[in-house]
Formats: sequence, structure tokens, C-alpha cells
Amino acid sequence: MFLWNRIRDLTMQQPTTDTTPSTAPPTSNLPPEILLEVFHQLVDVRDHIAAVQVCRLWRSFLLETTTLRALRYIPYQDFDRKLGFGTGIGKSVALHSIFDYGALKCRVFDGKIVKWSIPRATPIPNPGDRPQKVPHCVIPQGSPILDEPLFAPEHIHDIVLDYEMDEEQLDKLALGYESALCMLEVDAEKGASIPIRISMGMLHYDVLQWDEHKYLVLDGKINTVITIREFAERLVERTEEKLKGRGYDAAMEHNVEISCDMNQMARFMFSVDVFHPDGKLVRDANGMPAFNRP
Amino acid sequence: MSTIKLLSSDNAELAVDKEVAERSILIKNMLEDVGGDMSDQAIPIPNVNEAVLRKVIEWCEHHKSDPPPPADEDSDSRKKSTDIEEWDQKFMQVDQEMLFEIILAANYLDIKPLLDVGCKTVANMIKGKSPEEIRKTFNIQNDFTPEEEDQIRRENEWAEE
Repeated sequence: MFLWNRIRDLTMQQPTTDTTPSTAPPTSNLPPEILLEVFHQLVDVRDHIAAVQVCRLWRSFLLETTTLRALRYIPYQDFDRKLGFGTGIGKSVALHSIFDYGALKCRVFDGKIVKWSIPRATPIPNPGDRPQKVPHCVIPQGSPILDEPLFAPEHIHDIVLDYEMDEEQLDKLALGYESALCMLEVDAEKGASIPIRISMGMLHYDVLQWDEHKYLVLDGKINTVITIREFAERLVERTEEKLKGRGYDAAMEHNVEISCDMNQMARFMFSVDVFHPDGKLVRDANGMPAFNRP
Repeated sequence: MSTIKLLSSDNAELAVDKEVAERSILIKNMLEDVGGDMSDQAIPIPNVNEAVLRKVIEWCEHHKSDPPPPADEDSDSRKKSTDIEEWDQKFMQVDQEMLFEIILAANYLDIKPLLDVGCKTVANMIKGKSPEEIRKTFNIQNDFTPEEEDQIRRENEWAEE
């Protein structure tokens, strides 16, 4: 019967759950590995945002556990599989799931983002319903979710670039990469760095070009990352430039919605919609006039 | 069908079908180690009291003929969260203390599907709640300093739509 004794010894080492007489036992009664298991069931980034504010333990778990952080990214292959076909590209990209709930909404004033929001429930389709005045609050740098990389860095590393290609070859390669989000462009300083363009819109005729080297390419791999905040700010900046003289007035507060269509054609397609304070769509960033919108 | 006996931490002896008890990998391995013949001696389960053990056995009874879980397709993890089958949902409608005890027992007894259901149930209690609501639900103390709290509030100042 040594076996029972051994098991008894082993199990006695675990603290028994001695619950306090209060009505609800604190979750600290759950051992860390079980709490982690629970957190792995939280796939909604909005629940992550709430959970990081609960207490130190929860915060450190959610921000510092690699596998929990991975829950905030949607690997490209998931979409592939959802649609039932493979693109054969074999490269993976994982986008932050903040774009998974409809548009990331911003309030823009004087060229700056003064308010951020993620729809809590189903997004309201009618922009005319929007409240006209909201207090500004600029989320400080280092925000756990907003300042996370737009794409999971470990996936970004998968994209290998070839320095030796000329512009024409790169263009061809870029076409191949179209459905995997990234477009490549030759930098003036050939070989030093290659900025990445993000395809916007089905025909990718309207291309956002990064002139800052947010994506640095070293040893044929992209090894630095852009955050969600930097991405959104850059998009807003570029969109504003295009909208000047088209009814857009920087002195007024506009609502900007950045969305990513991740289902259609298994591509990441970012679009930016700018709404005038009166609720009308100014003109979306794909260059489509408002009336062309489905 | 052979029956075995389990001895709870509060010394209650519960008879249970071997097949049912073997939903617990811990018990299954123990029985294998001793050659399966445990008809006369109760197996001590020193971490689990009678009430909780009865609950766990109830779950094992209901799930005794479940097929073994499919090989883990971990990339499916994004979708699986809310799907708890109806019987399990009802089963988990217990007070929080009991819920936690069931989870701990499932962990100790190594009953993975029950542990999963328990964790999902707790996760569902977190979903859609504000930080304060979560603290209240789980009786968690806010251990941030006022300065930290202010900082955290500001860095999470997403507008509610």
C-alpha cells in the first residue's frame, strides 16, 4: 500500500482550499495554472482590456504570458482555413484582434487622434446617431493593448525578403504577396531597408507607403514592428492629406473608422472612413465617393 | 461491472463503477499500477470532500461514454470558448465556492474535460464585465496604488460606444 501513502504524501503538499467565510471565494484560491487556463478561454480583446485593470496578478498574466498575448492575434492561416482553401503562400501573418469587432474608431481633431474606441457590442451602422461631443482623452504611451504590435512579431519574422531583386522582380513578388497583406518596395538605399506598403482596397491601387522605416529588414528578415497606435496615427495622417479640399476641415472633429476586412478573399484589407461632424461620410480612403459605398 | 470505493477527505466511502471512476486519469493510473483489483479497499482522495466528490462522480457518470477528446488542435482555441453543452451548463450552476472546488478536484483527479468546462464557466463569468464588476464577482482586492490606478485608467480609456 506504499502507493496510497505516496499519493497521500504528494497531495498533502498542496494547500487545501481554505475558503474565507465571505460570500464569494477570491479567485486567488485558484492556483496560477488554473487561472491561466481560465484566461486562455478569453478570446475577446475587450475582455483582456478589462482584465488587465483588475489586479496586479491578472495584469501580469495577461500582459506577460506569451500564449495569452497570442490570443490577441489572429493568424492568417485561420482565415485560410475558414474559407476552406489554402493560398499556397505558406507565409503567416497574425493581425491584432483589435480589428475583429468592426472598426477601430477614433475621434480626430487638428490632425490628432483625441479619442479611441472599440465597439463594445455590435457596431451601430448609422453614423448620424453618433454623439457630437465627447471629452478628449489621449491614451498615454505604453498602453497595454493600444501599443502592442499591429502584427505579431513572431509571425512577421516569417517573411523573408530578397535584397538582390530589382524593382520589377519585387513588383512581381509583391503581387504574389498580395493576399498575405504585405507589399514590398525597393528603398532608395537599396538593401539597407525595405519599407512595406499595406494594400488598401480590393484593387490595391491606393497604396499606403511607409516612408519611415518602421519595418527594418536585416538579414533578409523584418525585425521591427509597428504598434496599433502608430499604424492608426499614420493612416489618419495620410487620409487627411488626401481629404484636404474635399470637404474635410482639420479644425472640426471628425470620426474616423479604421476597419480591416479579414474574411473576403482571405486578405487583410484596411479601409479608413472619415465622417464629417454632421455624420456624413466624407469620402473613404479608397478614393470611393460616399455614394459608392455598399 | 466492477465497482470500486473512493474515500473522501472527510472519510465518506462512495461506491462507484470502475468505468466511471476511470474518467479520472489519476484513478485510472492508480488502478493500472495495482493491477486493477481494488474491490476491498477504498481509494483515498484526500483533497476532495464528500460533497465535491459526489458532484465529480455525477459528472463522470453522465460523461462515462464520451469519446476520448480529439487530438489537440490548438489553433482552434479562438473559437471554442462559449460552447459548453447544456447538461454541463446546468451541472455548473452551483455557488462559486463549489465551482472552484470542482475545478480543483478535476485538476487533482486529472479529468481534463471537466477541468475545461469549469474553466470555461469561470471565463464566462469574466466576459463582458468591467474591471470593477470582475473584482466584485470574484472578491478580488484591487492592489494597485492610487497612482498606478490612475495610470491604468488613463491607458485604458477607450470610449464605450
